Amino acid sequence: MPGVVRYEIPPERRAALNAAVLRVTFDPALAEKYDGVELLTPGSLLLDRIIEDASSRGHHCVAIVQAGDESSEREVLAANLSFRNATPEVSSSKRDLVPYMLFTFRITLITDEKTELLETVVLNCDSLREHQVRDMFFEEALALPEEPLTGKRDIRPVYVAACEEMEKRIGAVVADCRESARGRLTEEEQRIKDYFAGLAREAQVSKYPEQAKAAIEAYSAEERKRLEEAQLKYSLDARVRLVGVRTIMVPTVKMAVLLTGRKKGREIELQYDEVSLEIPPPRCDACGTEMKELGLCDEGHLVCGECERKCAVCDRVSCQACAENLRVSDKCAQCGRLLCELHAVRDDFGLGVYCPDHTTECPSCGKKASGSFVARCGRCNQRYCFLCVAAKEKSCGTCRSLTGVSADNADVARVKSQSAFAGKFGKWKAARNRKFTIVEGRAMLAKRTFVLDMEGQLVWEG
Amino acid sequence: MTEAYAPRHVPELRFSPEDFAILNEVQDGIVEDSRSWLLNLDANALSLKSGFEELLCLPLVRGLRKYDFQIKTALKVLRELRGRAILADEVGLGKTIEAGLIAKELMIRGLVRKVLILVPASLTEQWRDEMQEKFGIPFEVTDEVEDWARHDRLICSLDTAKSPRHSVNIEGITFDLVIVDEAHKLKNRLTLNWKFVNGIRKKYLLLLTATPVQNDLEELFNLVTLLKPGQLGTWGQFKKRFLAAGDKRMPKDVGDLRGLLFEVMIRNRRGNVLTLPPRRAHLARITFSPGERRLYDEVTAYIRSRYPRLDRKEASVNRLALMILQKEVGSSSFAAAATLRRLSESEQFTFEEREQLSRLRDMAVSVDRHEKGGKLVEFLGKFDDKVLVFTQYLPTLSYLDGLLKQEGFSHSLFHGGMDAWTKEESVRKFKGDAKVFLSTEAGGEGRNLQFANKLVNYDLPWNPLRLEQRIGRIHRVGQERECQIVSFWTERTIDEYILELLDKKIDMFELVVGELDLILGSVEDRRSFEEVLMDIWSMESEAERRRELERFGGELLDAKKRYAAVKSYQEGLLGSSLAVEGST
Repeated sequence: MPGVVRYEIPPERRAALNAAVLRVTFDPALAEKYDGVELLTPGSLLLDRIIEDASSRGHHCVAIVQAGDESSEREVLAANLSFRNATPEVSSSKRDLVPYMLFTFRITLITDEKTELLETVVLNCDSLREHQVRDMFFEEALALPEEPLTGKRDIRPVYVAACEEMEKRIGAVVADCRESARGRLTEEEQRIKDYFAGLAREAQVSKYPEQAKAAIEAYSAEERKRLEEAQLKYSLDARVRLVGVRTIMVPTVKMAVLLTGRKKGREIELQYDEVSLEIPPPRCDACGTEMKELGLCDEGHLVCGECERKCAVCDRVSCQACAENLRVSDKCAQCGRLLCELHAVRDDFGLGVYCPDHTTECPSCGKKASGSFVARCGRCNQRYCFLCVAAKEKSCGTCRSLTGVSADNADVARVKSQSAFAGKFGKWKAARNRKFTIVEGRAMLAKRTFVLDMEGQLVWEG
Repeated sequence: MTEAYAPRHVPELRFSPEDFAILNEVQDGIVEDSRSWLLNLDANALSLKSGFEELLCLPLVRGLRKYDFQIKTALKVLRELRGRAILADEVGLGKTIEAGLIAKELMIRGLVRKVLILVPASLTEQWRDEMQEKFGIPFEVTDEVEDWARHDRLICSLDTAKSPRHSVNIEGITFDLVIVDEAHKLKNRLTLNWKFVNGIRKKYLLLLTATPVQNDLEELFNLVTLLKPGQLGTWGQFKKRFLAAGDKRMPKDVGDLRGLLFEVMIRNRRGNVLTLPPRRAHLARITFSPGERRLYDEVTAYIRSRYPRLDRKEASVNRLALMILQKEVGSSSFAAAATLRRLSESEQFTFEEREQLSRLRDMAVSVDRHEKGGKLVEFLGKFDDKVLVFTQYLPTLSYLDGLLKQEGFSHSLFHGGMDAWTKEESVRKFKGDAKVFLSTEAGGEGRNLQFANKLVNYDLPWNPLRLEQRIGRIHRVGQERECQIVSFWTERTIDEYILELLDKKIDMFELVVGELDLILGSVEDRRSFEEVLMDIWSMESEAERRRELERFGGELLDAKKRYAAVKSYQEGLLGSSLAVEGST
């Protein structure tokens, strides 16, 4: 019969079940149809027996997995990880058999309803690192290791690490369960409290104070009872039971990789099992998250993209793990780019930190000005601190202090040699500040301003 | 390794102490084969239970016809009403089944261990049998006070449970689930009934009643408050919000009230969820043969002269025996003969009486024509359909057994003296090729016989509930064809009285199965129906008998009217707003 399975009862259970072989099915319709076919379904006595029977054994088994074709460490490294600011070099490697342990936990969460789940955690017993759960770990046909694995290591830390990992994974489910039950409880408690408060109020206005007192006492006793009931019903009962463990010996390559970057280098330990050829991504020194793209800061920290801080001006790299004074931590208040302490400019007007691009050293007074404290001169069109540009005339101190010079002045000559317009002017004025030489030419009806830099190059005219 | 792991991220988690046993095995290098390990994992995966998306118990309650609305009801109670509900389906829709499904589901999922079912005393055994047979949940009926500590699943009558002797013991227990059948008995919050149930500590609570409201809204308020205090506010608040001055029957805002009730009550109605095919009652009049007539009259005369009536002072030791004799002589001469023989040998009677009884017995044995038997054969000959034949008495049953064999009908026998296996076999035979199912009432409950649609009352039980139960065997959910109920009645016998009361006054053959109880429940007479009947019948004067019959008939009629009033009141108040079908 399709859908009906012969179930051979293990000898030691035959007496209890009063049979040696049963015909069983998971299909209620088939069970209904055929006499003597037992239905297996959650809650059925037989299935409960079988389950009880099965889960009283099989707590621990061992296996060994075979490596695939050997491949070079360099290739595996390249396939798994990429690098930023650093070049990796495999400096040493060694092959070993490492025990992995697969823990299966059964989690039961009871409020006024029930949630049950199984969580499987695989750990590398050496590194205590979690390993991805692979289908092959569940294969029945895995080979047995040749030597027994007795008592070589304390499994307590492995168990603890597995528990912790499992906890992290089910945290959300438990919280969900707890919160939704708590919501129902709060609602129920509120209803009960309101009800008894209402009763008490009504009793209070009764004509007989003695009776009212007794009634109120009785109400509060009952209220406690109702509240207890509600708490009992909705409080979370969360239990975990270890179902079984499988120890799996996995051929593993451990290697040291030397990273060289801009400044300090760094050696890291990486390992991978030769079955999956997967390298568990190392963790960021700063934030601890796993990363597939590894960066190296100037202090030699392994750092993820999130934690890496690079100066926008000089490419200096730091991270959150670096000492505070070494961190690239300033940001330009205007453009937001990161700046190392060398390139973070604090303006002289107390506005904050700016990058060199957004800082102007006033050609007139020499102060560093940024943001809205920078003003442009209406005549020479150069940037000054706002103090040096007179608001009324909109011109800088230099332009206001122009003094007459002869037409054969050296600066005038430079202007003439660089500008096609310079020829028509007869009268000249000039003044100089820290950065520029401002030259003004005048004719009957025209006036033109020329700006020369320190090298005498014409940078602006107009 | 002995120290338990202390949770670091999820503080509530409790780690099983049994883990150490496993960890020690691992530590000591104790190894089992991978097959056992995998089996263990599979077994665990298979037994995971979560949520209430579906009922896990369904495949387990085999052989029980479950209706969609019952399943939906169970799911709604579990999922939305969170296991606290008033199940107020109309009669005959299977509130017991809904309650059983919910209980089973909660138990399978391990949410419920301690269960208490409170029922009227007369139903304790029936509930226990149904829970065992339909749901495979073993219950004990409480007997002694020690039972409270001894058993997890108990059935107890409300009256027993609330008695101080028992209630003291219940005080300290927290029940996971409490089910109260006939919960309209909790309609008054000043009564001990209400206070007692209110006092029980419980997580889930199911109140079963077909009449959640009978006279006024306060009853409804009391029931809901028992279930979910505050759902309708305090009585003062409720009055203010819903009651117009002077009217306790209809709320000011029906819609609002229904909305609040929707969160605590489910009431499926017949029309919404299922319609039973019609049922036709036929009365087959029998005229006794001269021998039978003489026997009946003489036995009756004897009983009338002996039956301890209210106006007689004698001790009433033989009251029950005489009543049975009167019933039996109406069933068949064989039934009467057996009892007459027993009585004629009894020390309780004087020599003269024993002589007389012995004479009557000879008369019974010598009856040569059995009119009812002939009528039955004639009736069976008319149809190809399967027919259930009910009698109350084993001698009648064995007479009919012989008669049917002789007439060549294939039939199967069913009576209370059979063991469970034989009963099963008998039902199977009837389901197979047997044409007739010959049965006494005993033990027939809960078996599905709906594949038959014809029923013969070979004799009329004096207890109308018995009669209703017989009809209920075939006219119930699952019946697809029109049902024929044939009742044999014999002229000039007590049968006439029975029909006068049941057929003429309360139209019992028209009632839905279950309603009769609700009607009889409101008749105010300490005597049972059959006692009243016997008291009337045993009166010497014909005129007196008629007068008493009229009076009692009047009472029944009033009870029926009261019930009709409750029904229409309830209908107007609740309508179909609380049905699961309507809500989805």
